[in-house]
Amino acid sequence: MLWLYHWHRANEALYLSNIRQASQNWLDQRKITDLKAAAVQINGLYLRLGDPIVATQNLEQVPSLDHGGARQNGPEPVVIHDFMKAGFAAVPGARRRHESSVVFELASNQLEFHRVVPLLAQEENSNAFLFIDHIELLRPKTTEPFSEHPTALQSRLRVRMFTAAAQ
Amino acid sequence: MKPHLVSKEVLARQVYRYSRAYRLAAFILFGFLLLQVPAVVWLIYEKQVDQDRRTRAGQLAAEAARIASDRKALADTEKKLKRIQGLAPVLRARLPISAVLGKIEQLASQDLALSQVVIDAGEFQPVQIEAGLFQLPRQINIVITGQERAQAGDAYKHLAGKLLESLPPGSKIAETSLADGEPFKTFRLALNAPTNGNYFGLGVTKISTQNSL
Repeated sequence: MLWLYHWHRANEALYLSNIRQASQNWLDQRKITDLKAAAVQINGLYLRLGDPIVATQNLEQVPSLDHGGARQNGPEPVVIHDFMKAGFAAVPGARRRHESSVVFELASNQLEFHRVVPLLAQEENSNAFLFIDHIELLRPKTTEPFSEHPTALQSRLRVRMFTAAAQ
Repeated sequence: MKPHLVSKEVLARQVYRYSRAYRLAAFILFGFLLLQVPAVVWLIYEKQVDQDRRTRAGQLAAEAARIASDRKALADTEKKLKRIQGLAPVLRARLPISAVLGKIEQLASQDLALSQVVIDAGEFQPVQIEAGLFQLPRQINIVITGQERAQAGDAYKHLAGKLLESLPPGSKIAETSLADGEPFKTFRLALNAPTNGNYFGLGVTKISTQNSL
């Protein structure tokens, strides 16, 4: 009888083990099904997120305002390049300690509001890791309020980008 | 003629048959034999159950092996997904400034002329992303100054209210002030908005949404 009882206990343990394994299989199968269904979207999103991540080895090659904003030794981040093409001057800013980021100070006196906003939207869309920590758009004092003439704003930005230091 | 000749053996047998001890022993014996019936049934049942469960365990093990094999083929996708999930805090904390500026432009009435817009990120919090650190802003501060036509009434307050509705939940107006002047009054608005990932009021869609560019 004792032997039968032990056998019964072993069967019960096997039953529980089977239930656990079946649940785990169901979860794994569901995960795989979801992964298969979302594979295209995941790959696309990964590509989109991975593309703009700035490689740290290029950080020292950014042009400064002292040299008229011209490119010196190598490529700057694409976002900064786009800002410069649009009329912004860029200088590398102080990087926070231990942070995987690059910082740039940008300035322009040439762009109107309706040109600055689409430019920012375009760059924010192209780089999901672009953080605008500070932006100041100032109407020049020489321009009267409610002026109907195109007004170039004094724009000052400090942008920060997550880098691929960890990759 | 021998009347009723009974041998000793027969007598002994009769004594055994009818004595209490004999009956008790017989009862115990038959009881024990009777108890064997459920035990045998139980034994057969357990054997059947054991067989079924072992078969099921084998099937589940085979299924697990097949799933593991399928999963290996998707290892790359899974790795990419994990990395995207690791970057989620960074994506969530980024409040699109262009959307805020676009909303200000959209909401400002014709009785208002903005002279300065300042947006600052604040309350930075370091977050571990993979092997690096990144400072994520928990809040942005928006300061808008400008002029309002004298007859415009509370157009600047209307702008503040509408902008507050568009900003993420938890946003608040920190300051509204109006200084008299001729022909324009000068107003100043200050708002704080948390970077909590809910930017739908600004017209922002999820980054995973297709064709969101």
